[in-house]
Amino acid sequence: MTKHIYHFNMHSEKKYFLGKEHINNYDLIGLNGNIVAHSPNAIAALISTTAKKYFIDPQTHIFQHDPHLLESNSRKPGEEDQIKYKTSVVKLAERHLGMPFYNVLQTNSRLSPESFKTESGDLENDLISESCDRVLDFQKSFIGNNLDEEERDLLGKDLPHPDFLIAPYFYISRSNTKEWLEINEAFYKAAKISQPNEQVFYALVVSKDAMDSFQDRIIESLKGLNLDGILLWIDGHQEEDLTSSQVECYIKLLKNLKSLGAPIYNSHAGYLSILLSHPALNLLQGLGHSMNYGEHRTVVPVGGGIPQAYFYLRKNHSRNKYVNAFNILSGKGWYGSVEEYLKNVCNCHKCQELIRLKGSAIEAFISYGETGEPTTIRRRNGTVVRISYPTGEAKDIAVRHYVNNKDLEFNSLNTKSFSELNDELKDVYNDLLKVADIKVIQHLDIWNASLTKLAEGR
Amino acid sequence: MTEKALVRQFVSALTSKAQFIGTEVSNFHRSADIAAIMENGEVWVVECKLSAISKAIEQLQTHMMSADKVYLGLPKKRRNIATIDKINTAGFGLLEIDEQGELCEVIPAKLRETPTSHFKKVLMNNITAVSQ
Repeated sequence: MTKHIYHFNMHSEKKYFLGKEHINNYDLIGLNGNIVAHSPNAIAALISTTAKKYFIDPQTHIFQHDPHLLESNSRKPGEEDQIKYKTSVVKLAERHLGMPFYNVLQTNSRLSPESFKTESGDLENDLISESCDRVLDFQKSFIGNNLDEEERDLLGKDLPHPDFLIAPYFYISRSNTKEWLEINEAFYKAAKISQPNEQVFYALVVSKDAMDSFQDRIIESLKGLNLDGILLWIDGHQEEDLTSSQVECYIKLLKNLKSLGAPIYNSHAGYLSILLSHPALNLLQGLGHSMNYGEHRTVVPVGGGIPQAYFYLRKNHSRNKYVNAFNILSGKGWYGSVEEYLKNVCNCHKCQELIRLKGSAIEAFISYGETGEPTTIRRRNGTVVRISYPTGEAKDIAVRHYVNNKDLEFNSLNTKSFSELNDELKDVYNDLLKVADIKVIQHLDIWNASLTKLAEGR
Repeated sequence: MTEKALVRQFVSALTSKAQFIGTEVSNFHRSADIAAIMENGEVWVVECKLSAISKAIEQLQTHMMSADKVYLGLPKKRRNIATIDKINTAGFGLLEIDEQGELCEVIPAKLRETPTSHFKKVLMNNITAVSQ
């Protein structure tokens, strides 16, 4: 059965991890090293309360990028010209990962493959094994060490333990591919020696073009490592935006990885990956996302954009801008009656509850698009615009609706055959063609074509 | 001419036909260049453009959720066949204005049966707040 991973990124999202409404929707909690380092007790309490399995991503790759990306946006008066790193990153590096990661913050210079090599170009095996030990110890003991005393006494020897550890890793792009693969390989070997009784996953964090151009080299590097598991993260891999050849490249990667015999978890995955995890294909064994986002994520953060309402529509298996969802529902007349809405749009708990509370399908759907008082914004070019952000309640119900729908999609893996689910893609594409912007449905056609080829063994 | 100047021209031309009119009116995550409650009670949104017509069309799609009529506003003689096609396909209207401020409805906007009075009311509130 496919493991369903929820990434915990913000404390305000805790409510979606706890409570009977959502607790059974997921199997595994994905934690980032920096949030864990920043608020240890709160995270330990969350893990203990949910009693869920978890893993901690040590985020070692963040130290190979421009350190400027690790800087804090908030500076006190007088600190404007100083380099100030994010507190959570400083805590992670200083208290847990140690050298050479902390050195990046001290010297303001990024890690390179040479950081792990001697002047003569040999691997610095002592540095690799010592830093590897620290990174793994952090993951292994952190939650248990940060539970309050009473809870520790109560749990005795049964302290929470990660489902698997992640060996230190670095991002594989087109530049320095071979060199970083060599470092990742060395760290994985060191991790297996350091923790022979633990499940250690290899984090394969890779750009789309490296996945395409250097796939053979990547697979070659992984052969012989006897991997316990692979945690995959493809940079900015929004499944709805992939071309046919990109979908096929992704499928080829999964088939190649599968040949290594280890379970594959895709950290940031959408519905295409859900289908690829169907028992009939079994190309993925675990899939992750965040709370109404995070089905794709870029390795180097890109921020910005105006927050807007998104509505997950199970018909096109995508987070739609509210206006796009509205146009589809309006074009199909799907909010005309409760029956139509429940049959074609959503019958999740949240939608049913809203229909009961608001009295009609249209009023329930409107709730997802509610905005607050307009805010005035001055743009960089000096023009002033007024916009409205989604209300807190609209965002909350959209998250609950999203996670309910993800749960339903995961459940469909057990109730429907692969060919049924694949055929549905084409049927929905044809059904929505007249009412939807092609941009919000074309992925259904692309996925269907590639999956059909896969199923036919072409 | 700047887009700001174009907006001013359209506002001048529409003011006499509107009960309330405002610029940069909030509507969801977008800011409508011009939004107005017309004398007959219809709610209009006009996005004024000198270029980047495709962007305007995306913006107008959002406004269709709450306005009765949505228009692309162009200076006279800026339209081309591709623009007309895009407007017709999307169901918007086209307004043009000449240098003397003469307004011409080149393509009438379809009066949408606004699916929800709720979003229309929110937009009307935002228009009246700005126009006061």
